[in-house]
Amino acid sequence: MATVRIVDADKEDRRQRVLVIALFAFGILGISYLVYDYVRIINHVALPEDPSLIDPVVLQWKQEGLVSSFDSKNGLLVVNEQKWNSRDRESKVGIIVQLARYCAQKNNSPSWAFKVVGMSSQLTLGEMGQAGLVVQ
Amino acid sequence: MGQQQLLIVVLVIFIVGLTVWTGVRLVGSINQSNERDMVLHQINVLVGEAKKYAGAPKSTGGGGGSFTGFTPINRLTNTSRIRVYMTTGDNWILFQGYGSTEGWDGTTPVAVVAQYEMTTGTFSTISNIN
Repeated sequence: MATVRIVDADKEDRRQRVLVIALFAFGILGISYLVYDYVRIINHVALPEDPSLIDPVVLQWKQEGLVSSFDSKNGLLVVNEQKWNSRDRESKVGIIVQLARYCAQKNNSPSWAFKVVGMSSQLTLGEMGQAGLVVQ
Repeated sequence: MGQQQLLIVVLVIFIVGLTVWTGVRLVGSINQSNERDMVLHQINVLVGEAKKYAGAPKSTGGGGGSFTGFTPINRLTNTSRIRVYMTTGDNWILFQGYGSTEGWDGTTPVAVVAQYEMTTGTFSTISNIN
């Protein structure tokens, strides 16, 4: 029968404890990355490449309270300022450019003229106009 | 098997799973980044063509100092992996480029928007949309 000295048993116990702590640390790091990855995904706007598929996306934005109204004929999007400003610049640029292309295609126009206006302030928050793309 | 050893086995299984999943996500992320670079490269090619067009006089079919009317050949805007849509003003040109790999949202392809300004000779906007 093998015998284990108390000193060796203590050493083994300490080794296993360090291993468990290290594994927990790796686990926490991994979970943090997954959370970061998930937040990055849900904060990103999903815009279909085909402009004809944009209607359901706009409808979803209306349900979320981001969009108040969308006039594709005049290229005008009225948004909730608070929700609009909470989005990052990339998302804003993506929305403006994609909707501008959508309106141009729908109106058979070569110009991608488009404007985003705040619901309560009526300020222009972004546009595709004479100077090209401008995002406030 | 002791309780502590059992805990180690469970943690190791969990961490191996987590590592594999994170690895897959990281490789995907590198692919997306490469594709965005490819889209941007194609946009740069188009900027070169647009500058040539703007530099040519109107009498020879050029823009006479303006990007307006620039229409590149289809081969440059539609490759096997990349599609680029564009609109022009007098001294700016805006590109919306798409790749083939799925972007951050996991459903639509990677997308880049870039606007080139003739007056400064640089891009005023380069945004990785997806």
